Parts: sequence; C-alpha cells; structure tokens
Amino acid sequence: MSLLLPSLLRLSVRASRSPLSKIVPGATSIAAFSTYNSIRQAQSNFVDSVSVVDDLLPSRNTVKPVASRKTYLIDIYKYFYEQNDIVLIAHHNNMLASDNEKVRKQLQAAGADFRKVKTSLFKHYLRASSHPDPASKAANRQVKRKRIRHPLEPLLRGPSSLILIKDVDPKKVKDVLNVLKQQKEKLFLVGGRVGNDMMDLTKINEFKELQTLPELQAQLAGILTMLSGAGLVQTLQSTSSVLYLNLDAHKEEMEKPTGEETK
Amino acid sequence: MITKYFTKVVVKFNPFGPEAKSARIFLSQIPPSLRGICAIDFELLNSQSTKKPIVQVTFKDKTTMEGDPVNMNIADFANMFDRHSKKLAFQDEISK
Repeated sequence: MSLLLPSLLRLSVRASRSPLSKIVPGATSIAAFSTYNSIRQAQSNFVDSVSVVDDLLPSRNTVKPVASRKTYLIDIYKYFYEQNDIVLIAHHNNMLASDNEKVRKQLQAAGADFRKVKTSLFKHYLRASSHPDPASKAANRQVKRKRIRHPLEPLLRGPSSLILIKDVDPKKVKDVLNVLKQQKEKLFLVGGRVGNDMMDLTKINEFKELQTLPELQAQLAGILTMLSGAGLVQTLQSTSSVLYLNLDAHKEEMEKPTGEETK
Repeated sequence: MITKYFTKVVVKFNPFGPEAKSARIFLSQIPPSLRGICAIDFELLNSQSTKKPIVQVTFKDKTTMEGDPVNMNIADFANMFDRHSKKLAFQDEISK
C-alpha cells in the first residue's frame, strides 16, 4: 500500500490540472470539485471490481479478455458440444418471435434444446475443439499452424442454430424432425453430429429409423445366449492360437540351424 | 435485394457444397412479410443426387430468372434480380 501512495498522489495532482477546470469557470467551486471526486470514486470502484473479478476467475491466457462475450460464448459452445451426444445443425430463416417461442416449446417437449449460434465463433470452437481450452491463445496458434478444418464447418455458412439432444436416442431425433417438418423453409436441418459420426441429411434419416441403444444391446445379448457363445469364443480365439502356432514353428526352425553350427 | 415482386422461389442446394453459402443467404433475404405472397420451394441435395443446384425466381409478370449458386455470390444474385424488379417498379409508377 505504501508503494501505491505516491502514484495515487500523482493521480490527484493530474486531476487538479484536468480539462474540467478549463470547462467549468472557477473550478475551485465546491460543486465541480465534488462531481469530479465522485467520478474518480466511481472509476476506482470499477477498477477494484474488475480486479476482484479477475482474481475470482482462473488465470487463463485467452485471445479475448476472460470476462468478454466471445470467450463466454466459446466456453458455452464447448459445454453444449461435449455434454450432448447428438448435435444437429439447422438453418433458420427470419423466424418471428412467436415462431421462435413455439419451436422452442415443441422441441423441449420432444426432449431437445434449441439454440441459435454465432457461426464465426462456433466455427472457431469446432476448429479448436481438440484443445482443452478452445478460447486460449495456444488453441488459436495450434489451429493456425496445423491449418485445422472441421467436417461440420460447411454447414455454418448462413444463419444456423443447434438442436441438442443429451443421449443417443433415434426416437427423439424422429420427434425433432417431425417438429421441423411443420416449419418448412423457416427452419430445416442441414446435418449434424451423432455420437462421434458427422452425418448428412440422408444418414440422419436412416438413423432415426433405428431402435434405441438399450434395445439393440438386449438383442445382441439375446443372440449371444441363444448361440451359447461357443462359436464366438472359437472365432475370437482363432487369431491368437494361429499366431502362437506360427511363432512356435518359427522358433523351432530358428533353433535347428544354430544347433548344426555348434556341432 | 428487392423481393417485393417475387411470387415463387425455387432453391436447390447441397448444404455441404460450395453453393450452400449463396443459396442459404438468398433464402434468408426473403422477409417474413412475403410469406403468404411468395411460395418458397426448397430442396436439399446430397452428394449422390444428380440434380443441379439452382436458384430460380418467378416474378409478378411471370418472367422467370435463374442462376447457378456455385459460381454466383449473393451480390450477383441481387444484381440480376434487381434489374428486373426495377423495371417492374418503374411500370408500377407509370400506371399509378
């Protein structure tokens, strides 16, 4: 604190020479002085609050300031993209506020979340998504150096929105597509990610006709118990046993000539 | 872009292709006030489909104009369609 005192004194000296004294005739008047004081007080309060916020946030070296809108959006896109197994990208066309609300409610009823995205930031996130902190300078450098491009990038040329579904469930995708059908050209699907696969519209249409994952797993378990698993065990073992036999034969052949040489 | 005199719009494009940008921006330029007046017929193509990407507009006087969104950007489309729209606007002014 004692180190700060001289600089504070200097500040107050600079303040007394401020242009305010030129604008306000008789700057020594109490009113002008008090306004100036209150402005300075507000300024110092603001600086304090910013430093408090900076202390609270984990230290990050981001391209944009840590508390900025762009950093926030990239962080929230990371959260959405990683927390949801199905991320569908849709094109939206001049939707009115009433349409927006209606679609949002219908999608929520179908078990999905609807969110319009800032395409340039979402594209940047997709490119930097392999980095633990996509908003950081390091991630930006990595993208530039390796010229990383993402397969979903072409879908972000125009007004885009995300439809987020938590788990891999074809029935929910079917419901979502039914909701979008009513909207026609106002809101339509262009592609998306299901699990780890990037899909276009034909693949999504195939996917929605599938059964749910637990059902498929139950079917597989049923087949395995029906066949008692004997054939499967044999097939799985065959590679390793063939490898063992081959190596064994090779070992025997290797041993033979060495034996002759020593004789 | 003057959209006042459009009565029908046909847009076909592959969202993964190079034509997606101008086709999608063109779609987004048509205001909601035109919803009852202008029919929008859009089709999404995939990489296997043989249909060509297209942007086609029918005007009030039934002239149709079309362009290829692969080679044209949104400014080119706006110029092309505005040329005819301005003629129609001029005729409107005269007949008043």
